[in-house]
Amino acid sequence: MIEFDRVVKYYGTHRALDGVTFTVPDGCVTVLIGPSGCGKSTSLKLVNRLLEPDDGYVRVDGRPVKSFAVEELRRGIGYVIQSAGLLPHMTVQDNIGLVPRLLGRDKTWRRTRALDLLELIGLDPHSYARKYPSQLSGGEAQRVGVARALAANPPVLLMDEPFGAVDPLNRETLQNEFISLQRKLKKTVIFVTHDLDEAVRVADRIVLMQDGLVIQEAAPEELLGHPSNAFAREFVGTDRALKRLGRFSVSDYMSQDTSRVESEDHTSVPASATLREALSRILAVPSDQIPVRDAQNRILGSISLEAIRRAGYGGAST
Amino acid sequence: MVTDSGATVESWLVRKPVVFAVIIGATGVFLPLFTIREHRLDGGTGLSLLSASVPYSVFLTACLMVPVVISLVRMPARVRAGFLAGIGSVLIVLPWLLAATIGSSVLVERELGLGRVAPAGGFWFLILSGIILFSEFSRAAQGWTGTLLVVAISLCLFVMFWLGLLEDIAFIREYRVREERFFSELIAHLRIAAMAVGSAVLVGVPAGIASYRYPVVRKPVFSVVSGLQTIPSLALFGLMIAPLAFLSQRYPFLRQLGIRGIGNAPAIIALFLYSLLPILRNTYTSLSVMDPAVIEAGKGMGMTQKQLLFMLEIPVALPIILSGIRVASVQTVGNTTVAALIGAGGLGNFVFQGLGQAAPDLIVMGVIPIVVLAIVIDRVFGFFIGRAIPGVRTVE
Amino acid sequence: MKARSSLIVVTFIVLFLVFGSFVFSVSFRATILRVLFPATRELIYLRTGLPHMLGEHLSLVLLSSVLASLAGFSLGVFVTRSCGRDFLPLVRGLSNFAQTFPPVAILALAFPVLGFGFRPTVAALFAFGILPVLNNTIEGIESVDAGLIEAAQGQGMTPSQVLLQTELPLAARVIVAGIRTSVIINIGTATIGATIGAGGLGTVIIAGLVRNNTAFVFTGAVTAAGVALATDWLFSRLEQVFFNPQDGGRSGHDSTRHSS
Repeated sequence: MIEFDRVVKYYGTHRALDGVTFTVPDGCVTVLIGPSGCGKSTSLKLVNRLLEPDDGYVRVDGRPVKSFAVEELRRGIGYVIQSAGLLPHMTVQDNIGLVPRLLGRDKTWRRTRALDLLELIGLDPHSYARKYPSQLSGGEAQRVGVARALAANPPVLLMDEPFGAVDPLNRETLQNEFISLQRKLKKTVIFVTHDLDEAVRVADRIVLMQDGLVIQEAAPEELLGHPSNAFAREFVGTDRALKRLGRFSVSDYMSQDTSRVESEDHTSVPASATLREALSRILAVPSDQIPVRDAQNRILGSISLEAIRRAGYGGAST
Repeated sequence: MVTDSGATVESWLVRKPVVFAVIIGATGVFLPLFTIREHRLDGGTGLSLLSASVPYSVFLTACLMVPVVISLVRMPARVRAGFLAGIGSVLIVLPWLLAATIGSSVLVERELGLGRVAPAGGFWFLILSGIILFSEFSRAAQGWTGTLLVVAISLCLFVMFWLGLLEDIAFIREYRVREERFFSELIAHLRIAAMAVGSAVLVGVPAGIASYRYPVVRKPVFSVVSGLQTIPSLALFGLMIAPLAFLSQRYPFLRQLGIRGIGNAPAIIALFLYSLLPILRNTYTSLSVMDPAVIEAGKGMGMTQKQLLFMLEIPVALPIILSGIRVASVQTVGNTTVAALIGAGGLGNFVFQGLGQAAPDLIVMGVIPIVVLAIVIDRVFGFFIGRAIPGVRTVE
Repeated sequence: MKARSSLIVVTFIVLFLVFGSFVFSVSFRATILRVLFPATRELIYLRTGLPHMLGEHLSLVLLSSVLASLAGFSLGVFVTRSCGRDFLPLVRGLSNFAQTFPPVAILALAFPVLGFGFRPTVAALFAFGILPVLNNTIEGIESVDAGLIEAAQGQGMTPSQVLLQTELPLAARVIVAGIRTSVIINIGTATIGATIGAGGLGTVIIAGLVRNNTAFVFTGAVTAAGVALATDWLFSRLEQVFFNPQDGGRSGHDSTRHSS
C-alpha cells in the first residue's frame, strides 16, 4: 500500500501540491488524472523520490520513502515514462536487464529474464533481443519500456503517461495488453494520464486532481456516476453515462434466453465486449436486442436495450 | 545503389555512373599518360598510351568494356557490383603498373638513365574512373568485398614499391633522395598535429561541458572560439610570432623550453586554437542532445550518479565528441602543412620547398602523404565511432 | 539592453574606422607598427601597397567563390532531380571523400597542373570551394519534408515550380551556410596563394617570414584576419535578415572546416 499524507510540494513559489492525501491499495491500478499542471506527475515522482516533498509524507507499506536509501528504493519500483526512455546505446535485451544488472544479477539470468519478458509483452524474443532502440517503432519501444520496468519483478509500478506518445490505434492495443498483463501479475500500479477514456479502461480506482488538490478519489463507475463537484462533472463530460457503460461487461447483463433471437442475425456482440459497444450495435439495427456470441461464434443469449438502460440508470442511482 | 536484384537489362544500360566512369577512363587513354622528364626541372614530353604500346591499349580498352558487358549480362546484383568494384580496383592499380613497364622502357629507349616518369592527366583520369567504379559499387557488393579490395589494392601498390618497380616515377625519385628526412618530417608532422589536437581535447571538452552547464559562459566562449576558426591559418600563425618572440626574449626559461617566435611553438598554439571549435561544439551538442527522458529513466531505475555518468552519459556522448575530434584531427593534419611556413617541421616543408624551387615532383611527393594521412585518420576515426558504440546515430 | 546594443554599434564603428585607416593610411599604419615593433627599422612593405594586395585578395576570393557557388549549387540541384538521381550516391561519396583533402594540398597541386600565378590559384580555390556548397545544397534539398513536396505536387505545381517555390526556399538557409563556409575557406586558402604567386595579403606575410620582419607578418595577418572576420560577420547578418533569426549565429550545418 502506498499512502500520500498531506503532501505539499513547491516549485519556486508555485504550490504544485497543496496537501494531497490519498491511498493506493495493493494489487490494483490507481490512475491519477487531471488537466496538465494539476500535480499528477509530481505526485508520481515523489514515490520513487525523483522529487522530494516540502511537507507531509509518502509511505510505502507504512514506511516513509525518506527512510529508504534512494537507489535501493528506485530499484524496487518499476518506472515507465512517456517516451520509453530506453538507453540508446544498449540493445533491447540489455535495456531490459539493466535493473537486474544494477542489483547484481549475472548475465545468464538477465538474458533468460529478458527473453521471457519479451515473450510476455508480445514481441518475438529472438528478433527483438539484439535490436537497438532506434530500430523500434513507438509502440514497440513502449512495450520494451514496460518489460524493463518489470525485469526485477518489483511489487510496485509507476507509469507516467506510458502510452501518451503512441498513436491512438496502437494505444488501445497497448492498453488492452496492459490490462491482461495486470490481471496475471497483480502489481500495485500508479498510472498517470490525462486521457479519461484511458483511465476508465485501465483503472481500478481513479484519483481526480486539480491545482494540486485531490478532487475525488473513487472507482471509475462511481466517478462517472457521481462526480463530486462542478469541476469533476465538467471533466468527466456530458457523455459520462456512455463512458460508464464502458466499465460493464455484456456477459453480466445478457439474458440466457435465446428463444427470441434469430440465429442468422448478422449483427451480434461478443460476450467479452462492454455495454457501450453493445449499445452502439443495437442502435444500428431496427430491433432493440441483438444476440451475444462467444469466441467460437456460438450464440449464448441476447442483450437488450432495456437491460443496458437499466444498468446505466441503476449504476447512477446506487 | 544497386540493391535492386531484379533490375532489368535496360536499366543497367542507362546506369549513368558506369557510363560516366567508362567515359572518364576512355579519356585517360587519349590524354598523355606520363610526362617523360630528363631531370627534375625539365618541362618534359607527354607520352600517351596509344602511341606507346598497342597491346596495353587493347588490354585497357578491354578493361573499360568489361563494365559495359557486365551491365548487359543477367546476374545477381551483388555479384555484378562485386565485379564492377573489382574492375575499379584494376583501374586504380593499372596506371602504376604502366609506369613501371612502359614508362621505364621509354626511359631506357631514349637513353635517359636519370630521367623520370611523371604521372600526367591520363594517369590520374584512369585512377579517377577506377575510384568512381569502386566507390559506387563496393558498398552494393556488401560484406567484406570492399575491405578486401582495399587491402588488395594497397598490397599490390606496396609490393610494386617494395620490388623497386616504381623507382622511375618522378615523385618516388624525389622520395628516394630524401628518404631519411621524409620519415623525420612525417613524425614531426604527426607530433605537432597530435600535440595540438591533444591539448584542444583537454581544453575543449571541459569548455564544452562548462558552456552547457553555465549558459552565461556559452555565448562568449563560442563566439571567441568560432571567431578564431574564421581567421586564415597563415594569419593566425603570423599573429603568434610577435607575442611569442616577445615572451621568449623576456623570459629566458621559455627560450630554454624551445619556445620562440617561429618554429613548433607558435604552430602548435595556433593549431590548438583551430582545433577547439569542432571539439567544443560537439561536446556541447553531445550534452544538449542527451534526452532528459533517458536520464530520468536511468535515475528512476535506481542508477547512482556514478552509474549514470559511466553507463549512460559517457557512452552516449562519446561518439559525438569523437566525431568532433575526428574533424579537428583531419583539419589539423592539413593545417600543419601550412605551419612549415613559420619554420615548424612537418611534410609542408617538402611542399613549400617544391613550390620555391618550382619542382612539381617534390610538391606531389609532399602532398600525397598529407592527403593519405588525412584520409587514413578520417577512416580510422570513422571505424571506431561506428564500431565502438553502436545504436547511437552519430551527429556530425 | 538598448544601451548595450548601441555600445556594440559604437565599438563596431570604431573597429571599422581603425581597420580602414590601418589599411589605407600609410602614416597611421606606420605609427601603430612603430609602437608595437620599436626594434624593427623597415615597418612598411614598399613593393606593393596594402590596399592593392587587399584588392587582389578580394578578387581572388570573389571570383573563385562566385564560380564555385554556382557550380556547387547547380551540381547539387542536378543530382537531386530525377534525371540526376543516379549520380547522387556517387557525388555525395566523392564529395565527402574529397573534403578530407586539405585545401592547401589542392592549392599546391595547382602548380604542377596549371603553373604559377593568379589563375591557377583561382582554379584551386574554385575546386575546393565547390565542396561545401555542393554538400549543403544536397543536404538542404534532401532534408525538405517529402510530405511538403507531395503537397506541392498535389496542388498542380510543375517540377520546376516545386524546385523554385518549395525546395529551394526551404533549403536556402542551409545552402547559404555552405556558401559561407566556402567563402571563409577561400579567404584562408587565398592567403597561402602567395606561395604560388597569386598575390594577395599572403604576399606581405611571406615576405615578412622570409626577411624575418615581424612587422610585415603582423600587417598581413591582421588585415587577412580582419577581412575574414568581417566577411563572416556580414554573412551572419545576412542570415539574420533573410532567414528566421532564431539562433542568430551559425547554423548547425556549416561544416567546421574553416581551415587554411
